[in-house]
Amino acid sequence: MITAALIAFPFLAALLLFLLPANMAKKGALIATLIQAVFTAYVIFLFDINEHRSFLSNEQFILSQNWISSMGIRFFVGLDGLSLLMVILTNFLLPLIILSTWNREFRQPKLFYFLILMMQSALVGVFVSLDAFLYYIFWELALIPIYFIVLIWGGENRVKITFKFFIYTLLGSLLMLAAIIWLYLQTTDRSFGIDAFYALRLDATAQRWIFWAFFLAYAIKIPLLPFHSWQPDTYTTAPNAGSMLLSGIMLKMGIYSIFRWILPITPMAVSAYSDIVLMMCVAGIVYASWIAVGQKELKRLFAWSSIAHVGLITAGIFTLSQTGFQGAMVQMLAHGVNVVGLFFIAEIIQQRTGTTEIEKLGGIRQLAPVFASCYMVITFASIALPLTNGFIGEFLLLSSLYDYSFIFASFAGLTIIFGAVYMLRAYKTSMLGENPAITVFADLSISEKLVLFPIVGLILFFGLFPQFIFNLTDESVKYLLTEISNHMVPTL
Amino acid sequence: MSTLVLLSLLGFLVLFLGAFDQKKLLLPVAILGLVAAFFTNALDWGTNHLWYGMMLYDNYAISFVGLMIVTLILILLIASYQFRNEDSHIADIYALMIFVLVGALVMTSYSSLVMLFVGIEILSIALYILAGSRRTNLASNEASLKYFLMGAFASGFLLFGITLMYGVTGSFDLAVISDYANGTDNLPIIFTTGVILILIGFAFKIGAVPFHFWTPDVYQGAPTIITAFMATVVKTAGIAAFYRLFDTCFSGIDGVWYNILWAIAAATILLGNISAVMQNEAKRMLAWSSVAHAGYLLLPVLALNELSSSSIFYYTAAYSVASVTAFGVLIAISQFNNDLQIDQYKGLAKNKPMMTLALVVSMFSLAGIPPLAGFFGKYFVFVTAMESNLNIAVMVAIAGSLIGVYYYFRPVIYAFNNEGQPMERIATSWTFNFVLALGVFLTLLLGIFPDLLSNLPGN
Repeated sequence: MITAALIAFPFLAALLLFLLPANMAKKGALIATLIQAVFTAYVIFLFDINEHRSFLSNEQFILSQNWISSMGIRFFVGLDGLSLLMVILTNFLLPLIILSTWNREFRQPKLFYFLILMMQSALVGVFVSLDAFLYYIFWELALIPIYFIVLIWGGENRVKITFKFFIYTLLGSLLMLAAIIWLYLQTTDRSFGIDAFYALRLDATAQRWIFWAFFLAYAIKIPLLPFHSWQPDTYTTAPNAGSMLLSGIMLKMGIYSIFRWILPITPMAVSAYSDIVLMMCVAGIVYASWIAVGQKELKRLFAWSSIAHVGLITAGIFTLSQTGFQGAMVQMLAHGVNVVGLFFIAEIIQQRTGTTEIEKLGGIRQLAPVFASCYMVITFASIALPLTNGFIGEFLLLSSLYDYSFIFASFAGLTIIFGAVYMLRAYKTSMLGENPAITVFADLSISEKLVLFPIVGLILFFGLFPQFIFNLTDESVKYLLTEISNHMVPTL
Repeated sequence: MSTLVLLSLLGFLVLFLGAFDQKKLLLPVAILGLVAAFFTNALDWGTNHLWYGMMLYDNYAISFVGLMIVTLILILLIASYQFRNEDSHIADIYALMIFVLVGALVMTSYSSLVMLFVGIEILSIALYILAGSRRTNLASNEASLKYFLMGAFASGFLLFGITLMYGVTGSFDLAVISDYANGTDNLPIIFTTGVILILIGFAFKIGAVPFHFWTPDVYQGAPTIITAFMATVVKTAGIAAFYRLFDTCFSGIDGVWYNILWAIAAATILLGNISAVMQNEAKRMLAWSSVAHAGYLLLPVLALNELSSSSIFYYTAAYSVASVTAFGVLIAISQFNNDLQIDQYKGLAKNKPMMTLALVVSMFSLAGIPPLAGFFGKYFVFVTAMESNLNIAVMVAIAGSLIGVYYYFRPVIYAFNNEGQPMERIATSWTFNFVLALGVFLTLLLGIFPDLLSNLPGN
């Protein structure tokens, strides 16, 4: 029931927003997300990290209810460590994202916050679904609000850009839908349940097809090279809250889904294609970092750096090792926090100076020291300096890559060097030095502090005490590894 | 049978009300009659009555007739809105629509090829008049004539096929033909030619490629509400009749028609969607999109398994509701402009938020976006097709759906563009608002609880 409530609450809150007057929508949405965050904290408290349970590792708070019984579709949700990690990410970032819009007035504010809350509901739904059909519905449902957010409140060229984004992701989803239907037709009792899917023993050819059908959907969403071309434009044109939702949470849908759906169902194909996928990831890391170095505009720079980071996360997963899995999980959380911070930095600069072009900025540090310090911490986290949350994840990911292949690791390691170059240079040019054009730059307001201080706090906290994440996901990682090794030999 | 009699009488009653100038009574009488017909229809559930060896009123027929009655009620409510300022012969239009329904009823319940032909003719002749019901409008006249010529062609093919079939088997009865088809080892060429001719006749009627070329012109020329009627009720009847024949008679001899139908389905999906992309007129775009939907509907006919009838039924239901809503919005916006360009949806969101909601829901449902009814319909069709290993055809359908998103999203994108002309002048009526609200509600309801309909028609 608790899991269903996590999905239902934002949804109901979103509907209730329409009853409020327009100028209260922002406050209503903030209160709703705060309640949801407190609720999530309570779920963490209830969650038993040591529990081993039955067929599905340590899934807890399971709810299984017939939904479309004629087709074997159930409302089947539950939480394991990995799902809970993603739910935590979603529900703790949402209040910050809403707070980040505090100083901005949107036209049709009710619709705007309605869409954001709908998105939260769908995202949580993706992360807790244990029925493939239900999962697919939430997966698609998460796409609609963000589409409208970018379409209605986006910047230049939004119609074309959102369209490309939508078609691209829909292409992936539809292939995944076909794969899901195919798997459903293979199950003995005609079920979409994850247990039935995990019990399938597919032959190698079938695994290959299914793997690509799923993987394409995820590679587009994450995005990996060469499916990334929608991403920089979309992140740039989206209103900042939209960019935060997209990069902070939505792309994690893809990474999470690799863990949840691809690895246990098609392990043979995964190990057969891991070299290809690693090549895609590493090429993406190098390419995106290289492009990022040449960017002149902050949001675009963050967008490209995001491609490099998620490429590394995906690479860690496809080493199929415990270190890689754990690194990926830690880094998913860390990247979510950091990228929201970065986009908020860009938002603040945009509001104060009217531009995010790096060359036109400068000298802001003297005018707004608190702001500059926050930006610095987030920059450090983004380039994975020790003591920040970025360090642990990248270290684990790179070490798993090193164990897999020295060559991959050395190329992927470039991301740290490149990352330092473009992030520090952007910081230097935009914050330090002197710029006669910028004479006024107010330091952080209270609402902005309420966003940036928690982000800085999270960066330092998880940099110093990452153990919490390991505890939470330990069982999931072990379970995935045994499940994969069990599946490697098909029982004919 | 009581439904058939009731509907025929209702048609005449409406005609007479028109003749005696009782305009105020027209709509209530028609709606009440249709509601009554819906109930008498439902009462026959499970009886499987065979009428004089001519009509088998089984659950399959009852489900489709029920669906078409509901669709017609919605369409009449919108028609009363579209024709509210015109005093000429509304009664004739209502009555003809009801007669079309009579033909549709016969088409879904025939157990003899003669009745199939009679049903198609009842339906078609009334439609020829309806397509030309805007007598002073040149496009409407053209539509009517084109539809008549093409319809006559199709009827010719169909009749020729039926004749050949009769020549070989000596009977019009579906059971006899089925026994013959399944029990004969080397089917004579005359028989297989008959099957192909009948298939072509049906392809004409439902507007499948390459027999589709009349659809865009006819759909565009006819008054919009008649277009909506053709796209929903008539298409439903066509596909229901198609499936009924192929399921009962030709399921054992799919070697004869399988490849042809496969090609027709794939071509219909692709060409329908691609052509819709290139349209700038909203009505023409919807016309092409209805061609594409005919293609999706052919997949379950091709699959021909135990899920087929349910998926056809569900798909037509979802499609009908969404289409009526979409055409309703189109009628409201185009009341000052007959050939509405898609970019004239501009400014809708600002001025008519509720109508925009209806537009978004209906377009997304047609595009197959979850959790709306249209998505589940597509999903259901895909499952049915993949159950019979039509994996490649499903890939084609997926490509078609992707293309579909492009043109279904265009009106939505324009609607959220605030630069458009003010639309305050758009007047609506309560029946119109009711249909739109109901359309949105049903699309959501069927999408979230597809079990409400997905077990129909049952066996």
